[in-house]
Amino acid sequence: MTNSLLAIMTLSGYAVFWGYPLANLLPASHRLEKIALALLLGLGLGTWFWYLGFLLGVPFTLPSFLLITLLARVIITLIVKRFLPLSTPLPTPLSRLDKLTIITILTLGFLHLAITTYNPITAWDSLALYDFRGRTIALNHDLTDITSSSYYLSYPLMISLVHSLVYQLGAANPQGFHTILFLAMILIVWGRTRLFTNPLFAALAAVLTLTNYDLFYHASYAYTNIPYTVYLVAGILLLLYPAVPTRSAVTSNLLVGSLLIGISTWVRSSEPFWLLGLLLLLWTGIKAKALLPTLLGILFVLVLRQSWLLYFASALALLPDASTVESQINARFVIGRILTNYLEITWYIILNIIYPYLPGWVGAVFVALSTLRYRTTALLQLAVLILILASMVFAGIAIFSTYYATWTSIGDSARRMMLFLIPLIIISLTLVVHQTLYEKK
Amino acid sequence: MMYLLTTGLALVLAATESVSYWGFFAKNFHIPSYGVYLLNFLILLTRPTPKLPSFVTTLAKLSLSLATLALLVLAYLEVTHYPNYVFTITHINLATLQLFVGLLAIHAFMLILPKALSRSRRFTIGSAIGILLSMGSFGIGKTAAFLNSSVRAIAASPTSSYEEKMTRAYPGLYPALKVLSTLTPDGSTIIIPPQGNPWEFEGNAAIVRYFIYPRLAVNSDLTNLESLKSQSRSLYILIAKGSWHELTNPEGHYWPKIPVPAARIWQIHPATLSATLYHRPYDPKTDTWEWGLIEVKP
Repeated sequence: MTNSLLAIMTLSGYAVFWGYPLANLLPASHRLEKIALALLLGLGLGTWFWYLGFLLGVPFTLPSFLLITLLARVIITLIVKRFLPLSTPLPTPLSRLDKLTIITILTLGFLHLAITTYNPITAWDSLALYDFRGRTIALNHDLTDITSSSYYLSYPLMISLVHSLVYQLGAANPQGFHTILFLAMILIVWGRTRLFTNPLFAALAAVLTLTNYDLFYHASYAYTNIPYTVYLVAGILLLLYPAVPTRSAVTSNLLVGSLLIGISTWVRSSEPFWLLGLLLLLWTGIKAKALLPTLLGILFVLVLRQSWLLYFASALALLPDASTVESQINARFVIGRILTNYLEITWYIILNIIYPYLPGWVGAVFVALSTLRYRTTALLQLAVLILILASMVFAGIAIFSTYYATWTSIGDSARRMMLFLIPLIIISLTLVVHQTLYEKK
Repeated sequence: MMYLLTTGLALVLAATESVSYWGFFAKNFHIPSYGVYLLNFLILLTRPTPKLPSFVTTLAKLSLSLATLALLVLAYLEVTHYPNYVFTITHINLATLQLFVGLLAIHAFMLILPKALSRSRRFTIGSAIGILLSMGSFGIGKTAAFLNSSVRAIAASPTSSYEEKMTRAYPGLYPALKVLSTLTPDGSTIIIPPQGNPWEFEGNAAIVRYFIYPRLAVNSDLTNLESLKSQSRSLYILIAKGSWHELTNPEGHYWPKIPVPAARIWQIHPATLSATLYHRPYDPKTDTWEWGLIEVKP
């Protein structure tokens, strides 16, 4: 347990060091928020550069990770200094409530870390897929075992590469990393909400997100759903139209936010929610008249996403028993099946998706309605995003039901897939209260 | 009058559905509760809040506090016991109780918030806080229970080894496969049963491979044994009774179900992490073991 904690802390420290030049560009509530963003960037981009190195023939070893990421950091730092001489606003001083919030987050985070580090990885998919890949990469320093089956290729490598780094540092349990990522998201939720509102509402949003059972519980397992949620939510929060839309704030938010959305596809590539990130990027970029950062942001997302998908397609093609993946869904067939099964699909969605999160869904509808009267651009963006995301989840389940015979048994997976809606709904509700209380009418 | 009537009716409906189910009134009395809630909201937004005695505001605050506390405690109990425990014991439906708390919050905040704020503002703030309150208390209750049970589990055996914890998570399977790994060379192929009842664990090739790596796990019904022999230099077959908690397979426990020519077979004892060696072929009639291993004759 001690070894695992040490390895996790060492890697987290390195990730923060790696990502700080980028995170430092952002206006933030406090240095802790920048550290959280630096951690996400360091882990995501660090493992991604390591993977690029592997594609060029460099094995997955600790020295290669250090060399490649250090080289990438030097280049990124030079680019940032040369092309993005953005001012770093000084973090505002913390109030007593802020300090209390941070103490609460860190205390619960420490307890969570103790649980995830003590418990070994036991959940089926986390064991057999993500952690298995991490173990074999740590042992063989390549992808030999992974490219032998389409099952092992079904998700991008980020989480497995993080596990592999922990194993290569001599530790036995990388599960604690999922706590670290979860905590980073909570700090970002706190920091971003504080920029939009005040310490009270930031505390409310952070604590309610932290203590939400679905998030807290799932973060204790080494699935990819929480890391995916973390990157998607952090990316969306950065891409919202800023409360103080200075040129430098918009530029840095768009660039870093799109990197985070891109990294979310480096965690899970099959979900289509990154498209919403692009929509938000365009919305904020066009409204703020920031054309270049918007175009660069789109490029970041596409490059990060395609880098895995191209490799995935080429590795799959080499498999002897590769089943042919249906690339085009027959629209008429799908619509026909959905219309035939609409009652079953509707009940399934009501019982498995709506009913377990009833107040959340009521909240989502309420946020949408309240934006008709009390709105800022960011709140409107969140409301539109939540409604589109929810529609995508419903449509996804409906389409899935047409080509998977056992679709009704994926209730847990479907619920895990939409975990990202919880923080977005909580933040939106706090924005609604703040906006309604303080609007000048 | 309309205010009191619709508010009273909405709260009674929400309270009743909290101890039954969502849709109880729609099914039994053809009065959909959400219709009543919407009517109540409409009245709240369009009609002035009547002057009520101060004890009503106190009562609203008290009711909201108690309902929120009840939701938190019941959510806690739900996690510390079993799914649907609260409904089984108290007949309180936690999903609809959250709606009741939310509704109560709207009404409480309509009364608590300063009248200088417009009705629509008080309603909006009350609704948002109501939703946050019901989501929050439900989440905090369940999370507190999860934290409590997890920390207690750690405190009960803080120095447990990885092996001990994995054995607790996968009793039988983990220690048996650990022994199997000591009996077979790296790179060998282990035939496991096709995944299905009662071999959901033993037949999960990805899980088994995780525990026996760098050996390979292959699902087979043994009809292709000759072909597998030609593909692998050292081939073994897992003997498994089947550890799924419920038996639904008419063929019953124990696998393989056919005799296998073999030079050596082992009966594996997971409890002692040991194995007993027999120099003879495998016979399904006599070798009905929980765990074992067959070395397939080349």
